[in-house]
Amino acid sequence: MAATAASALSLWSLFFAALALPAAFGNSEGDALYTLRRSLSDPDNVLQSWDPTLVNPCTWFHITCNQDNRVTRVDLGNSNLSGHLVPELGKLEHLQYLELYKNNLHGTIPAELGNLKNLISLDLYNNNITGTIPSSLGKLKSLVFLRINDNQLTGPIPRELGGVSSLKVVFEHNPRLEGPELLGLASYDTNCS
Amino acid sequence: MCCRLLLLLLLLSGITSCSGDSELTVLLQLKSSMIGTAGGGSNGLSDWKDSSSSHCSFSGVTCDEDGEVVSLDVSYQNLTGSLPPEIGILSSLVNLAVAGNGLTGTIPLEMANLTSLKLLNLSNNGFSGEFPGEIVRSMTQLEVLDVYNNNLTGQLPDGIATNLVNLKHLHLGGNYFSGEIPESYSEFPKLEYLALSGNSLSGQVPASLARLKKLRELYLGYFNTFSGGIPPEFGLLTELQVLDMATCNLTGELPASLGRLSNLCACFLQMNHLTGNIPTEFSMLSDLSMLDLSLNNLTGGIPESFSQLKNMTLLNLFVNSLGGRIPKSIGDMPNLRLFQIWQNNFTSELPENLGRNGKLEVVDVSFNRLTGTVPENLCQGMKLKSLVLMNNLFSGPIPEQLGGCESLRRIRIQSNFLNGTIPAGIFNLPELTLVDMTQNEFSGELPKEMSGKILGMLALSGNSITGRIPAATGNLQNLQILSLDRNRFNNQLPEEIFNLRSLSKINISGNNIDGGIPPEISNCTSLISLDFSRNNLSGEIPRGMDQLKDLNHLDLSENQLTGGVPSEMQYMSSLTSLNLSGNKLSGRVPNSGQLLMFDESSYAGNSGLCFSYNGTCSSQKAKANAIENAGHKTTTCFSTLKLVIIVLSLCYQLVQCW
Repeated sequence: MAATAASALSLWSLFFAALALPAAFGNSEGDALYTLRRSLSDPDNVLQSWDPTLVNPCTWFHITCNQDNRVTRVDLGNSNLSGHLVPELGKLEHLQYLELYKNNLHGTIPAELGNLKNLISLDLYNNNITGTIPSSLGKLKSLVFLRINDNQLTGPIPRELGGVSSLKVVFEHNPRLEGPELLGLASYDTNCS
Repeated sequence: MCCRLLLLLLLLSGITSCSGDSELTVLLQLKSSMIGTAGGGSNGLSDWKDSSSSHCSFSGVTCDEDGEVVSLDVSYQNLTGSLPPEIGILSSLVNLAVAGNGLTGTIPLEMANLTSLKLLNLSNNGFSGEFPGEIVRSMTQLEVLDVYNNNLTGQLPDGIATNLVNLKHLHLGGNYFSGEIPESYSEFPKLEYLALSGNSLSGQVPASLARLKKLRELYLGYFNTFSGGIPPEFGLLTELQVLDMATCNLTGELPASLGRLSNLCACFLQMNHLTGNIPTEFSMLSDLSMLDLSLNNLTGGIPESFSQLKNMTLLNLFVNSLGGRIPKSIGDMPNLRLFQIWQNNFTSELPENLGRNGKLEVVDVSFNRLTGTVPENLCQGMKLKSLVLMNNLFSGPIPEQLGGCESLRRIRIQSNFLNGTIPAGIFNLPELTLVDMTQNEFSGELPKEMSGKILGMLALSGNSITGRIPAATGNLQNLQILSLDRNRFNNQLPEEIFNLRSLSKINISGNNIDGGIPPEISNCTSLISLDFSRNNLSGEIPRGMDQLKDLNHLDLSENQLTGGVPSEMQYMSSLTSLNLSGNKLSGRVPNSGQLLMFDESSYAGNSGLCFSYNGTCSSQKAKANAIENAGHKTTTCFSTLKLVIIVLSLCYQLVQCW
């Protein structure tokens, strides 16, 4: 009994050794993405290369990093994923493109996405996402594309989004989303032919 | 406390000569408590019933010849209740194991009555509160005490060593114990296994633990935050086989005295703040198989005498400030499997014999200042999985033998001065998923045959590779990333590349590729990023680009493309970055849909292009050159504000909902 416990522990030590490694680099980015992986169901094995024992996630497929090995893109559109988003995504401080469209994601949009201060594109369209659009997304001053159409979002569109001057929002086909008009934003694409 | 003792006395006084009957009652009470509110469910105690057969035949229960319960093992039975005080009534118990359930609550003090216990295993549960040391003080027969992986808090139980004269195995790890390691833990006369890892312990590691003469395994690391360092006295633990003090905030130097641990097999000291050199005395650790000193602040070199470590299988020294040359004798280590010394200051060459032992699996020497050539026999045993040499000063060619290394999974050799032709076999390796040879001096041509079935990334940017891009690239069925930019590729783009179903990123910029962009490009529907810039491409932008629904980044700049900007490009809904500048495009730039996002910088240097909004398209000629997609009118007016909100059918939806 003691012997098996001992060998089990040696295995656990090696396991901890492997686990402990990414944390040393403050590789919270790899940990955050691995948390996402664990909350997703991935029948096509799109996330097979997401190996948490690697030093950083920069050689994972569908991940792009910059020169400093910080994650700038997550490209998982159209990947047959189900499951839900995780608040840990908000830790990817250098993230510019979060592409999760055309999957079967449910659950809500984590308010923590408002921490992604470098985000340019947030594409969640064609999923089954519910809940409201977090007002924290109004903090994303670099955001150009917010495409959340074809989900099950509810509630009002936060007026904070009006403060993001470059923003182009696409949110049709969310039947319970209220009030498309944003204060201060007037223009509609008209077909004047 | 008093009430519970009274209860115990009452229960004990209930014991009549029919001890068997009351033990049955106790077992049934135990069952009821341990199952808890989860109810029946699936648990292994379904045969514990009040019937005519003896309780000694219950599963997990063993009795002695007097019918008293001596062994109770209900481990991994899906029990989510708690351990009740009645456990104390089974005073004949020698073995008690309830491991791997979801038991919660506190450890009952009544267990003090189990004075015959030799084995107590409460591991892998959710027991909380403190560990009541008093319950074990009378368990003088105890040999194994295991409470690993619970939620226990408070101080480590003290004052237990002098009584537990038979204790061999003590596992208190994986809890939330705080405070210091008691000095008294040095007094267990027979202790062979001590684990306190994975807690919140602090203070200094007591040097007196060196008195545990029989200790074979010592685990103190992971989440503990000790002050001070490794006591040099630990060199006296001559029976020690495993020393694990990783990730526990240790400072100071590696004691030379550890070299006396002639039985040491595994030494894990990674992720601390250790300084100083690796003592040459470590070469005396003849049994040492695994040494991990990574993620510290060690300086100096690898001792030459490490050649004596014939049993070394894992040598991890990465992320330190080590330097000097790697001793040649490392290449002669007969059992070396994993060699990871990345991110240090090592210079000079890799040992020539590295890999000749036929056992090498992982080599990572990246981020050093290593020179010389890549050793030839790295894959001699066909076991090499991972070859990581990046960011060094390696020169010379890739040995041909690596083209036959069928076990290879990852090649990362970017940012060196490697030259010659890339061995053709590499593109056929069956296990290879990732190749990054960016930024070297490779030349010659790519092979005409490629069959690497699971290759996901092929990055050869920044070399001097010539010839045509082989059509065989289209055979790399799982390819997601193809980076051939900044080489000397010439001739035409093979359309076979665009059969790759998984291809998401292709960059062939900065080459001499001519001919047209194959129309098959629109079949490559996984594309997210496409860069063909700075080549000699001619002809028109193919029709059907709107099929690339996920394309985010399109750069065709600095080529010789003619014709117009296809109007269907306005339907490329994912396009966020477009560069068509520096070509010979002409006609009117469609200014609707997604193309509204891009200003004139995307089209600069195309003298024939005109834009509706600034009146440059007024000429007849401009209109004649405009390309129109059959079913769509071009818009003639549009918003001039920067901000555009598209609300296509929302009004409709609102009406429907109300």
